[in-house]
Amino acid sequence: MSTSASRFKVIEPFPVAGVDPKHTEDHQYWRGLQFPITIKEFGAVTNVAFQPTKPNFFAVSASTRVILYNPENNESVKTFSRFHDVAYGATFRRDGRLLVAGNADAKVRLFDVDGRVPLRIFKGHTRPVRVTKFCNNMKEIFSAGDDNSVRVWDIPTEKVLHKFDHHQDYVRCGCVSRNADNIILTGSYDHTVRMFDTRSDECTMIVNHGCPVESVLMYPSGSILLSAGGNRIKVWDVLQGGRLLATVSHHHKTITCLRFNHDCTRILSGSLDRHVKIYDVATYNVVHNIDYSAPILSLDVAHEDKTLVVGMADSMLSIRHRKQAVIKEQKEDEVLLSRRKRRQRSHFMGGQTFVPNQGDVIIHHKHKEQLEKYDVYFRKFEHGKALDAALIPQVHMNTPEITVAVFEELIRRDTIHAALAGKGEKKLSVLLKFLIRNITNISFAPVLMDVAEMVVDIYSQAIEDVPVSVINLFQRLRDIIRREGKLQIEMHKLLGCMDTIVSSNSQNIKQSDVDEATINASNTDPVSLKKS
Amino acid sequence: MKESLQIVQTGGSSITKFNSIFSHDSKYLLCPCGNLVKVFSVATGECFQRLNGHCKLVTMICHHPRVQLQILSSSLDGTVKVWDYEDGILLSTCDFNVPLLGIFAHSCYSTVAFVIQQSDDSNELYRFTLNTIPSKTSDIACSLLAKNVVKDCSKRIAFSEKFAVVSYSNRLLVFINPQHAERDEKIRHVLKDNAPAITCISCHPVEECFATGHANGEIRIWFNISDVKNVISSIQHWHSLEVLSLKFSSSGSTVLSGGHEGVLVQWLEDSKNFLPRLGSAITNVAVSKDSTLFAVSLLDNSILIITNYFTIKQTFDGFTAIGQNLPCGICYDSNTNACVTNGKPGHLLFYLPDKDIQLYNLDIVSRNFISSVDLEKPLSKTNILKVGFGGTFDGVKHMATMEFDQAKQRDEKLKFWRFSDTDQQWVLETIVKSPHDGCGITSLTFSPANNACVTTSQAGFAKIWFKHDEEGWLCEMSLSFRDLPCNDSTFSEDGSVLALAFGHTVCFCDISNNEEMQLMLSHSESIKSIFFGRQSCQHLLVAATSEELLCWNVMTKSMYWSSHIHKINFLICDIHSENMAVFTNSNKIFVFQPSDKQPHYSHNLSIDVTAACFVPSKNCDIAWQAKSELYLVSKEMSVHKFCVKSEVDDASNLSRMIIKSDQVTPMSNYLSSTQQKTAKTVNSNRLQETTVDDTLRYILDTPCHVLPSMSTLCDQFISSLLLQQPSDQSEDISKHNKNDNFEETEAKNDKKASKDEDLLEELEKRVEQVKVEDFEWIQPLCKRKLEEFSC
Repeated sequence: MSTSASRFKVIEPFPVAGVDPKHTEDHQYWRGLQFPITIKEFGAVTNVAFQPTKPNFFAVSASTRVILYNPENNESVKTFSRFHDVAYGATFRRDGRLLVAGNADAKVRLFDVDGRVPLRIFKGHTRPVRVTKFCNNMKEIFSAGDDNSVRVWDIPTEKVLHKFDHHQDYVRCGCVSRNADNIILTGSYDHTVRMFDTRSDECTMIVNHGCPVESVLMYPSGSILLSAGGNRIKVWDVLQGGRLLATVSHHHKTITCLRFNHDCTRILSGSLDRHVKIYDVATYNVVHNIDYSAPILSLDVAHEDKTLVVGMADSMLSIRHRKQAVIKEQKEDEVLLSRRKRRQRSHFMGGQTFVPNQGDVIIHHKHKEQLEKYDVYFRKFEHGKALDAALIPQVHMNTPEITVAVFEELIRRDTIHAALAGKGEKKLSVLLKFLIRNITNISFAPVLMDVAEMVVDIYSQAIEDVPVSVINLFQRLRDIIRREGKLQIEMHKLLGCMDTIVSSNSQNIKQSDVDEATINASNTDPVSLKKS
Repeated sequence: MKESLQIVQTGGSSITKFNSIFSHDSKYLLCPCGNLVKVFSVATGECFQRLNGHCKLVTMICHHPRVQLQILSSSLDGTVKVWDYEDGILLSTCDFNVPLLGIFAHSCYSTVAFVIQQSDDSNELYRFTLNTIPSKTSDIACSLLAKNVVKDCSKRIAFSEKFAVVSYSNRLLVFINPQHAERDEKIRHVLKDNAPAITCISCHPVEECFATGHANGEIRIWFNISDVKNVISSIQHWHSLEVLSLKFSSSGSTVLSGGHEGVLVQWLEDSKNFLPRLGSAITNVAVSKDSTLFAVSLLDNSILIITNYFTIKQTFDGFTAIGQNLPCGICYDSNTNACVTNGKPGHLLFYLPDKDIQLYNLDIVSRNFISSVDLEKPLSKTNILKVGFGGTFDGVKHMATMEFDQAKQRDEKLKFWRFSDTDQQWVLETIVKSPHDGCGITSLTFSPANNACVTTSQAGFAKIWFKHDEEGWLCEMSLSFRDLPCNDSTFSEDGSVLALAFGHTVCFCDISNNEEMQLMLSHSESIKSIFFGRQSCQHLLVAATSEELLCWNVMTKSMYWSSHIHKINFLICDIHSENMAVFTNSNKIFVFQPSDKQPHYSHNLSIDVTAACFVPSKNCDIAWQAKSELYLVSKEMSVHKFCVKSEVDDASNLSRMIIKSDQVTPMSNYLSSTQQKTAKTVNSNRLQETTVDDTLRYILDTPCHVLPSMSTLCDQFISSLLLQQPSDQSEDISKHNKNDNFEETEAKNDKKASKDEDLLEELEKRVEQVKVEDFEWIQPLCKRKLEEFSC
């Protein structure tokens, strides 16, 4: 008979400082992308573009070739290798049947997706052509490159229809308006984004981005455009003659590419700082972040955000597919199964189908609470064993906060010395490794520092008997604590610097407030005088 | 006025300090509680009767040897009183004129009882004859049995059918047939030198055998006790610490023992049963006559009723146990109308002072009770240092608690709780670990205007916490001033201004506009606590240093008044009226309003006040307590309040007023139906009150432009205030009232004068009965009526 008066209060996990990352809808949505598949290309992947129609292949421009990949099986379907130099900016036409690519040999080549040989070769640029895009009317293409010129070509005749020489430096990006046939937008290293109208052959709008422009985007409505350059994205209102609407700066290196998601509600930006950030178009706040292993040069998103393809500077191509929606029923089955497994623990589960008669007194079977191992030992006041139970790998690796809570409970019970003492080589090294791994964790540090001190106290008396491997661990612990101490000093210095900046800044603000107030006062005075 | 007030105990005190006993039918549990004996119903858990009559601590109770329904009680006031506990009637008193530490009686020796008298340095066990008629001191025939009885006698003396045992730390005296035995007729057993000291003793109910508990946790069973040389004792050992209580079951087949471990152990012939984790050290065990129930008294001032299957049947919680100094003081919770203070270790106690009822103990710290290995070095406990209640915003009420292990200087946690309406309980929302780096929190205040909370610490930081929907409570501002310790914080009544006491300076800031601190008031001495005035004194800030009470006008930034008070202990503020009260270390109380330097009321208290609280109440006769009553908690954890002297008797008759809530039986149903008839007349008065309230509310709720003219309304209104029971009379009175206002008409009614005087008296009585709540607004109404008449 061991019913207890009050429930045994189990060890609560040690509260960990810091707010959990928010699990917003966006978070979950973009988490739905699977682990990336990476493919090695022959050179830096400068451009990726999805075919707008089925079968939704994507073209990858890397080194001297353009390769078509099938997103279903991630295998290359076709390679266009008739380039004499590095190929740039391969993009599909709206109907998905033609593909155009620029080349470092200053020629623009037009391919049939099914063919191999270029259908047309547009000659006229004098330097490498970086940007090639189809115009909205499907009969023209525009190209731009390092010769500072933007040209519009007629596909049937291979002739130049328009030539714009307004840019002062390399043109590295451009796009066409989706709803207007004759609007072309280009960004250049001369820090400007220019909008050209083929009807008037003129530059209709110039905005200055402030640094070399690496990518431009235009909303489908054509009223707002985005430019990326340096580590910031700028949003411009076209209808108001290029008024700056917002500046977004979340990358710390140059942003190389910008894309809309499939329904233009999110913007994706890739940067040399190896992150892809996703913004909400309504607020221009970052809603999600995806990390990559190398500087990102290009990215594109497939129809319905099914696939995200990112090309990197170390000539790697990363493909992430969206997870298939898991059928819920299966999951429920699994849950049932696991429950059944758990039930097998209890010895007797008979009488499940029994229906009680009316008037029967029903006494519910009390399920015994399953305690964790360390709790069981704590209940029995076996503190040494409780500590051992908290230091088994699946506890201290997966849930270090539990192990720390056990330490704290031992301190509270004044039995930590007894529990720590007399450990063998194996257990002691596990304990020390745990300390080494977690002592720098800011939430655990106050408890673990005490524990480390006690461990050193206890085992320093008989340090001769301690094996060499454990002594090495002790030394590592000492080094880590030393390093942490130095880091803390540095951090405090930094904090001091920040404090001075913040306080001087706030003083400035105050001063400006005061100035404004005096101005207001001086303004109001004459009015009141007039009134009187 | 000042002289007529007196301080009266309304509740509190320890119910586990002295042994409690079961009634013979196991339906009631009787326990000494301060100057009272409380009778609890085992079935319902309510206090069913209070036996009030002793003027000092009741030390022990025992059953009357002859009469089943009577008990004897001994007290430090030197009397033994005989009670009928079911009816709560004091039957007789024997006065010994010496403080009595204990009383013993046994049904086997019907004419005698035994008392322990306290003399200067030793206690003595006396036998006296128990008469049926009330006896005076001279009649009591006392005969000395044993000298130098140990102080904690109730556990160390035991009586059974044939013998009595008195134990000292290392020897035992056995008296065979104690009703006749003389002082010399005793058998002495001496323990060996190295034997542990005896801590408690219990006699077998039938056999010649008894059990002793020892300081090292041993339990010894002694047989063959009449033989000096060949006494046999067997040793059982389970407890690791001192055995605090020991009892034979009434059949004698089992022994129950308890100690510091908080585990109840039942010793059977060859096995043991355990009931672990009772929550605190077990100080006493009582067994009912049929051995089906055990009452286990715990050190945390609660009694558990345990069945013989070792399940808990009932819990009686007392007020906070003695020995705590109530670090979080007393707070008023408007949700439950309860006072909130430290309860059991790590718990908050919700207590209704006006009814002396413990609502519940809320577990804040959530730790298991662990007894320390060494009693000399007790384990440090995490205490609740501060508690605060926020207002209700968006239908949610919040509470914040601050806990800290002061001895170990760790485990500092700030917890925010939310009252869940669906579950009707407090739900933990946010835990903040070491919010002030263990630097000693000094105050915790909620803003009355929004979901914000301020905590201040000795380290000189005031942190302001705001509630966020997703992340819970976050610190948004941290204020400090010249590294001075921040001693207190207070919000003005509308929540617009936060005042912080940094050392000797008070700073103000507006937390809603995120502004910098501004406007300082400073004083030469360190300010201990500050409060904004309420209602008409909103612009005044009262601050207490250790020697002075200061009042500033915040609008003009000037000192309003200051007053020198010797050694201020603490200052409290009533949130429902302008009153504030200050307590000194020499137990003086001054009640004052910030607008007036002169206190309304001052008193030299006879008790050591550890905490005090204003609790809203509407039916207090004392003028300055019109809106809320002041309750005081003494060092002995008894709850007191002020009473007009005439009321003292009423309060002492409180027991009569308690509604009997015993189990319902057919017989009790019948009895209650007969009682109801008599009660009806009383009830009708109550009904009257409610109807008056309804009409009042009706008139108040109706917009004034819809109401008929004042002149037509006034009559009805005034008559609605009166009791309608003798309807013709009340009309008469109202007429008379009108007449009173006109001298001419009064002259005509000269004949009636004598009759009217009687009526007037009656009227006054009735008006007293009617609630005198918010009738101030009626005055202009009446005035207008008068004017109309005079026109």
